[in-house]
Order: sequence, then structure tokens, then C-alpha cells
Amino acid sequence: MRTIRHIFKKDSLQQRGGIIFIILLLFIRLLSDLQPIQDEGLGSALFGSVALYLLMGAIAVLVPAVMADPLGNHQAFYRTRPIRTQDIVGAKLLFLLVWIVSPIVLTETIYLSFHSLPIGFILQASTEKVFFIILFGLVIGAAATTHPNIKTAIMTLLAAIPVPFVGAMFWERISELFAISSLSPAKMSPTGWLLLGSFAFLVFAAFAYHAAKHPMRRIIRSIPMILVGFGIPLFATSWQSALSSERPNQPGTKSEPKADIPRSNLTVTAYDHGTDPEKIQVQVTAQPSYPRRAGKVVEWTVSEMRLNEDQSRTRSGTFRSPSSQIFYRRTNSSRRGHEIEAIAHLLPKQIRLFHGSTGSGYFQSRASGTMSANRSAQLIDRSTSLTGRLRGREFTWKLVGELPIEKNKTLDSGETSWRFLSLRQHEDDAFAIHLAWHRPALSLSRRQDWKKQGTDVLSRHEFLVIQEADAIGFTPESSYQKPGTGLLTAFKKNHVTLQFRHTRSHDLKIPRFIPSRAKILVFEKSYEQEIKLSWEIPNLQLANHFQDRTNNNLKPAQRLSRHEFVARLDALGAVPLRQSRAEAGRYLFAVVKLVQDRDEWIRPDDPLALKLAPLAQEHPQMFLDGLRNAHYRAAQLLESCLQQGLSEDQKSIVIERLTKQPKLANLAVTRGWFEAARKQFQQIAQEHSNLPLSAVRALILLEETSVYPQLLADYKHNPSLPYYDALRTLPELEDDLDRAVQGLWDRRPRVLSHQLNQRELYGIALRHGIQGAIIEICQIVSWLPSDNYSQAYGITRAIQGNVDLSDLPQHERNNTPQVLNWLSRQDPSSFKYDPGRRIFYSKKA
Amino acid sequence: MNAIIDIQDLKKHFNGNRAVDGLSLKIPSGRVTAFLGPNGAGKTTTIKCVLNLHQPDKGTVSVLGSPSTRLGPEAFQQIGYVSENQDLPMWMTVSQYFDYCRPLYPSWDRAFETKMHQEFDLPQKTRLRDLSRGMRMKAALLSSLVYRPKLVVLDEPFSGLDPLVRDEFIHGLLELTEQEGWTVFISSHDIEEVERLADDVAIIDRGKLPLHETTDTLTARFRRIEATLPCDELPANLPKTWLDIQQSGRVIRFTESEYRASTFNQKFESTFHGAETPQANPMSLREIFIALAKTFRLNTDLS
Repeated sequence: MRTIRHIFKKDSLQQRGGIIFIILLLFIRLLSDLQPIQDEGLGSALFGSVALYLLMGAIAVLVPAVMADPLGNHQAFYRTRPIRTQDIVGAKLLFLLVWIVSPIVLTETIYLSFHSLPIGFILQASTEKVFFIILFGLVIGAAATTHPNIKTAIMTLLAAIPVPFVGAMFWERISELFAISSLSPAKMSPTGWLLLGSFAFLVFAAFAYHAAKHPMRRIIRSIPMILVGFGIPLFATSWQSALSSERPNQPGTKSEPKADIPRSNLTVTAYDHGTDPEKIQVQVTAQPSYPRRAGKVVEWTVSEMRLNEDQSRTRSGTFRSPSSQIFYRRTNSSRRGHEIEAIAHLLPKQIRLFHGSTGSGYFQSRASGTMSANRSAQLIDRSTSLTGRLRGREFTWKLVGELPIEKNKTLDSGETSWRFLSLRQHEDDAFAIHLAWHRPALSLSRRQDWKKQGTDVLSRHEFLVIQEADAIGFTPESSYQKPGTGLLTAFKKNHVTLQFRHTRSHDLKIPRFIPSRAKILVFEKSYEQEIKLSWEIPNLQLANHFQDRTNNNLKPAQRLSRHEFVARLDALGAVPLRQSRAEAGRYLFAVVKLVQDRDEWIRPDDPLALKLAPLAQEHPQMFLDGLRNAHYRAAQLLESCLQQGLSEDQKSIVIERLTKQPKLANLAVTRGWFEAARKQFQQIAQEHSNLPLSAVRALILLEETSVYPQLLADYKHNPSLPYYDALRTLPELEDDLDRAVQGLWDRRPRVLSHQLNQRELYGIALRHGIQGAIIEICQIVSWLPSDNYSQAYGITRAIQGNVDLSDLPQHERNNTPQVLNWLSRQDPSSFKYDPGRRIFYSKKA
Repeated sequence: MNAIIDIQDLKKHFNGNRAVDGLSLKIPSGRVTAFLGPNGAGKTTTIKCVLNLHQPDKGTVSVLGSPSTRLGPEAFQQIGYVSENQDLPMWMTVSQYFDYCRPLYPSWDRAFETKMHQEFDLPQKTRLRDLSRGMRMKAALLSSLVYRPKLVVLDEPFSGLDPLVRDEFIHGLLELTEQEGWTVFISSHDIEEVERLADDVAIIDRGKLPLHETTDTLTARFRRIEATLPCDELPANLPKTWLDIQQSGRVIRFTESEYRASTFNQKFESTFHGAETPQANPMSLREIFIALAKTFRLNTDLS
């Protein structure tokens, strides 16, 4: 044993330079693993190259140590000395264990211990690692000792190791370059450049070193090669960083801002006031979900109260937990027998959201309930979701739970459980959180399965770190998997890292993040309320991203160009048929976003609708659910896909949903299923107000005369022109419609605000013989300068078909100036109404 | 007489070439034995078989009473080996090298080492690869002697050394062998180097050992004879002890391998009637070796 130690010391002395290099690399790797923030660019490239250099360093150290006393070589020094062969073998093994195996295991043990991993696990995981390192060392050592020239071969192999990596990098980049129009050498990753530079350094430095005999000359000649070898990747990395800042966003890049909301247990109770049928009392009660800290109470503000989506009547107030307040809401009609939905939004006033460089947002929690008129009832459907607003966009996610910032604390959501591992704070405006996820229902064996699941887990969840007492919250700048290498593979395969980094802006002071006062909120993306949490929840936020664009708020310049729209659609790839619902959902979500940005009506015969039709057939529930919350272009797309995609066998799915989603009436009518859905349509007419036009049309088609009174009543509150056009086809309602239109005319200021425009109202009024309409029109025309007649196009449209223009030549009846000119010469009182033809005519004519 | 090395019918071949062909040799203890032979005679192969660096194909070799194939650390603690073919840890400095060797030998004499360092004037801080060949050999020799081995094996130790260094080397070795009474087994193809050292001479030629005797005996029985004959014809049957016969006219020169002063002249007269009295000159070991080598070659060719 003494001889073994003696030889080991000799080898250690000889290889001290390489040993120091290996230990330094391991130290760098440990720092990298413990680093809270991962930089992109050269730092990341350097850390990524450490493993490769570690391998090279180990070989470069082990081979000379073995070759110092080669077995089987009769000229070896030890052969004629009192040294046994067993001593040599033992010394080399000891060298391998002490200077290669032990440092690797030690650094990884430090890392695992740092994350509170039990020693038993470390030892268990280390066994396999030690075995493979020793096996590696034995192979290298055996190769080194069997032939005296093997040293040269090994060193040549070392120099050649980067070649396949560089080649793979080049090939990948060349493939990418051909896929895009511009060529740029900076497309190569920093790691690729670093490897290329290092390879150049190895080759040139080796030449320079061996070319010189004197040590000083060797160094002098090698230094320029070293500078060139490392200068190339440094320069290229800087260039790439500069170019990457100018690179446009790629399609599908995740760039949505996030907003998260603290949870509250919310109860909404609505009472019919009893004495005043138009008054409803709503009581909001919240259970305290946040413990008081130092007596501070979280304040909440009700931002809006909506009844029947009539947003013009909202009240707000201050709500202090745990107490409650009562809000009053006045309705505009008695709705006995109809359901009233009261929705209260509670908005925590003081919590500000910080994301990225600037940004602020707010949180609000939401609960909804229903009650029937004429009786009071507790909330029968309570759900908690969280919506937020950030940079003008709204998002909603479902809160999974709260995860304390304490080591090894867990959060169990059933599907996925979370465990807090570590938090690293890096200055005041940057910190990183390390979590581990677990899915008990899954059994994953392969590394790629873990990686895929990790990606899925990250994409399904959102996170918020909140300091409630300080009313601030932080959303991650980025989140990523961080699979380990070597010993850490088994441990880190289910790890994710959330990086929080904030750049101070001149107008927004970011308060300090204090880990002891913070907690992590975990959210899962899902549909609102209706969809139960299950594995099949698509990773969509259709409702969140559907903005109300009924007025087509997008300016032409804001819309996606046709070319870009098509390009981005193509970039999404093939429709994921026969894939999981999550995959299908993600794809559909991306398509919907594009359609919204394009702001184009996708009709049922559109190629896109035809393309997505099979997907609709495969996942009808998903499309139908999305249709519930979708508006305008998104709804048009979904409906077009359903129209094309649903089979006759799936008719029942639509019919079952009709009463809950009256908007599906159009689908049922278009597909000719309205007859089968007669019962449902009747129910809709009874239970719903503000019927979709398609439902109205369906009821008309079904000739359900019993519901006509409801239709008429509904029309009074929704006096849109299409609704009118549908009802006026019913001769049974002719007289009632006259009265309804008169009622509209009488309260036209309110009607004109959002139900009808002036032209439409004039047209309806004229058709129903309201004298006041023609008088007003004539007055308006008399005020208009004649050279502005061409601007009064709407008035002309209102007149056409409702006023007898037979005095005008045919070709002038569509000419606005001519029509208005004629009208200006008429006496308003001379116009009489012909109820038979339903037009006004001038008595003079 | 104790034989510290006993070789019996040693045979070793490499790829069909017989490097050692039935060599038998006993190296006496306490004496310096020169193992002479031309290049490729089998000297190094024999030594490597002795030190278990090669496995004999046939025959036996025992060293220090043990078979050579079982030489272990205990045996090597009593053997010193210096060879131009031995790999030294060239990256070490002289002091590091001796620090490395020292713990391997319990009988290492530090005082002796210090003294020899001064005598050999070895630079301690210099790496072995940066030393001259002569200095490196001195270091190797010193590292093999300071633990006072019973047997010192030197394989071509003077190869490539300049005369001054060689002389120092030999002088030092002489002193040590005289003082310590070590057994030295030294091989060389340069006879003059070992002439001053050797007590015994063993000559190997083409894997065989045609001669092994003491230096005194060898030099005593060999004479270089020069004489003028009455005529220039040589008789047919000349004595077999006469080697390397050269004739130039009536002058004849040859080596007498069994010279006796008392009887040689009579013997010469009986062979060459009327010849002048021959001159019998002592021969150096080198001259004896050359004469023998020629004879060996001639006999081998004839056989």
C-alpha cells in the first residue's frame, strides 16, 4: 500500500497542472448549476462547454499518468525496481478515483445537498456514476498502456473531439440558413463558435508548441493561437447578440404578458328586493384568504357589476374583507321567471404586477352565481378564477394553489404536484426559483419523455410570485427546464427554473423583492368555469384572448397582412388530427389568434375552415366550448369549422347544448337540425332573453307561434335591424310590431346609443308609418347644405323602399343628391302612410 | 565459488531469429564480469532474461538464488540496473528522481548518496530530460548504487559517452567495486572500457558463449607473435591454438591462445625450422577479443 501511495504521489506531481484544470472546470460547473440566473450568449456557451472540456481534461490527465508506467513495456522504469505490477495498477486506479471520480461526485453531492436531497439518494445515484467513470478510465487506461504509440493517438483524438460537434453545428445552421432568405454567419450558436475556436486553438497551439524547443518560445508562439482561438467565438458571440436584438419575432413565439391574481373565496348572493321588482339586492361576501399581516387589511374594489351584460349600469364600492357590503342594482324591466346572473368582480386595489422591464397590471378574482327572480337563493354555482390585465390585454387562469417559499414545501393539484426547491436572489431586481414537478399518473422511463412532459407542464402553468403585504407581484421573465447531466440527470429531469428579471425604467420604480414575505401562486390555463380540470384540458385561453371586436376596432394598419397571415398559418404545420386534445387545442388557439389579427371573416367555404373541419369533428366539445366565449372573428371561425366538420351523428351534441348556448342556433339552422331541436328552441325562447338572431330565425322556421310573444318582448330590448327583419316576416306579429316600433321611436335616444343606428331606426319607423320619422328626415335634409347631400347617404338608404320615389326617374332614385334634393322640395306634412304597401307617399305626387 | 547469476542453456528467439542460443554462464559473486560481444550478439537479450524483462524460451536463469521469472520487489532491492534502453522519468528533476527512488529501498544510504552527488556533481534542480547524456547516465548509475545492491547489472552503460565522462564513470565504478566488493555484470561492445574493470570476461557471439574466463588468465595465455620465416611457405598443419594468422612475405603474425613462455619457442622452432626467434607481445583485451571474434566467425562459417 505504501508503494501504491508513493506511485500515486509521483503521478499526482506529474499531472498537477491537469488536475488543477479539472478541479477548476468542476468548480465552474458547480457555480453554473448553482447560478440563479442563466445568461444567454457567451456565458451560457462557456458553461455549456464545460462538460466537453471536462471530458477532454480527464483524458488528458489520465493517459499520461497511465503511460508513465506502461504495463507490458520491458523498458518501463518500474520493471527493474522493487515495484510490483499490482502496485502500478493500484496506483493508477487510486489516481482515477482521487482526481477524477471523487471531484465529480463531490461537486454533484454538494449540489444535491444544497437542494436538501437525502444522503441515501446521493449515495444510490453515485454508485452508477462511479461505475461508469471507472469503466471509462479503465478503457482509456487500457488503451493507453497496451501500445507505446497510443499516447499520440489519444492526444490526436482529443484534438479531434470538437470536430463532430462543430460539424453538427454547421449542418444545423446551414439547414436553417437555406430556410431563410438572408445569410448570416452569426446564426451559429455561441457554443458552436466556441467549440470551433477551441478546436482551432488546439490544432494551432499544438503545432506551435512542438515547433519550438525552448519553453519560452513555445509559450510565445502559442499565445497568438490562443488569442485567435478564443477571439473568434468572442467576436462572433458579440455579433450574434447584436443581430439577435434586431431579429423580428418568429411566429408562435410566446410573448403574451402574464397576469395573475390572488385568490379569494367569494360568495355572490342576489336577492329579489320584493317591494321593488326592478331592484335587486346583491350581497358579496368573501372569506379571508389572506391572513392579516401587522393589522393590514387587503382592500378590494368591485370594478363592475353586470346584470344581463348591460354594462351601462354598474356600481362600484369598497369591500373590506372579511366583511361584506351590499350593492344595489336597478334593472330596466321586470323579468319574472327569467334567470338573473349577477357577476361581481373584486379588484384588489394595491397589488401591482411587474413583468419584464416595465409593465403594470391588476388582479381581479371573479365569482358568479345565478338566482331566479322572485326568490332569493344562495349562489348555486361558485367558481373561482382569476383574471388579470396587463398591457391592455386580459387573461384568465384557474388558480391551482399557493406554494410557500420554503424548502421542500409542496403543492398538490391532483394532476401535477409541485415542490419548491430553491430561490436565488441576484441583486435586487433579479431572482430565480427552482421547482420540481411530479405527475403521479404518469410512468416515464425515457429521458425524452421527461423532457416532453416538462415542456407540457411549463406550457400549461403560469406562475406568480406575490408579496401580498407589499401589494406587489412578479411574473417570470422566462421559464425553462434545466435537465441535469451525469449524476444530476435522475434528479433534475423534472425540474423547472423560473427567472425573474426586471430592468428599472425611468418612470417605474420596482420595489424590492423579499423572499420571506413572498409566496408562489401556481395557475393552470383552462377554460373558464365550465370545463372540469382533467388531463384533457386543452392549453387554451380562447376566452381570454377573444376581444370584443364587434365594432371592428382594428385599424387597417393593425391587421395582419394576407401574406403574413398565410405564412404564419403555414408555419403552424399540419392540423394535428388524431392527437391529444391538448395538441389540438394549442393548434386551434394559434389559428384563432391569427384569424383575430387578420380580422377577416372565415366563412364555412373558406379553405381554412375546410382544413380545420376534421379537427372540429374530432374535438367537437372543444370547438363548442370555445364558441361559448368567443366573439366576432373567433366565433365566426369556430362556427364555420363546426358547420363543415360536424357529422350527422354529432347532431345531438349541438342540440344538447342549445339551451345553454343559444348562439349555437345558427349552427343548428344551417345544418338543418332545427326541427330536431324544436324542444330546445322552445326552451330557449322561454328561458333566455336577448336571443341570438339565429335562434329567432329557427323559431320562426319552426313556426312556434306560442313563443312569438316572447320574441316580440325580446325584440323590444334588442331592437336590431336583423331581428326586426326576422319578425316582420310573421304576419301574426304585424300589429304588435307596429306598437313595438312605436315604442322604439318613443325611446329612441337610448336605443340609438348601441342598438340601432339612425339610419336603421328611420327605416324601421318609416316602414311602420311613424309620421315623426319622415318629418325629422325632412328637417334634417332642410338643414343640410346642398353641397353636403352626398354625405347623407344613410338617409337615402332609410328612405329607399319606405318612401315612394316614383316622381324621380329610375336612374336618379339611387343618387343621393337627387333624392335629397327632391325631398327638400316636399312639404313634410304632405307625406301620408300607406299601411297596405307600408310606404310613405307624397300627397302632391 | 558462489554464482550470483546462473544461466543454464538459455535460449531466446524473436520472430525466428535466435538471439540467445543455448547459453550457459555463471557469474561469480564479488567480481566484475565483463559480458563482451559484437552488436547483435545477444548481450542485451541475455541481460533482460536475467532481469525477467524477457521470458526465456528454454533454459533456466537464477538470480540471487531465485529463478529470474520470480524476481520480486525483495530481489530488486538488491539489484541495481542501468541501461541505455531503460525509460527514466524524464520530467523529474534530479532531486525529485532520487526522492522517488529513495523510499523503494530500505538500504538506501543517504550519506553515500550525498557524497556521490558531490562527486558526480549532479545538478539537483535540473530535469532529467535537460541533462546531458553523460549526466543522465551518472544519475541513473547513482540511483542504482546508493542502496548498495548485491548485484549491479550494467548494459552498455558507456554508450554515447565522451571519453572524459567515460573515464570518470569507470573511475567511480572502480572505486566502488573495490570498496564495496559488489558483483558487477557489465555488458559492452567496447573492450577497452571494461578492461580496467573486469575480473572476468565472458564473450558472446551469435547467441553462444565461446569463452568465459578470468582476465588474468586470458591476458596471460594470449600473445601476439611476429616472426620472420626462412621461406614464405607455411606448413600445412599449424597448431590450432594459433589464431588469426597473417602472412606478408616471409613475415608471419598470429595470435597464440595458449602461450607459455617456457615452451613456446621450442614449439615455434619445431614448426618453422630455421625461423628467427619470434617476438611474443602481450595483447590487450581488445586485441584478444578481435582475434577470438574472427576465429569464432570463421569457425561458424565453416560449420
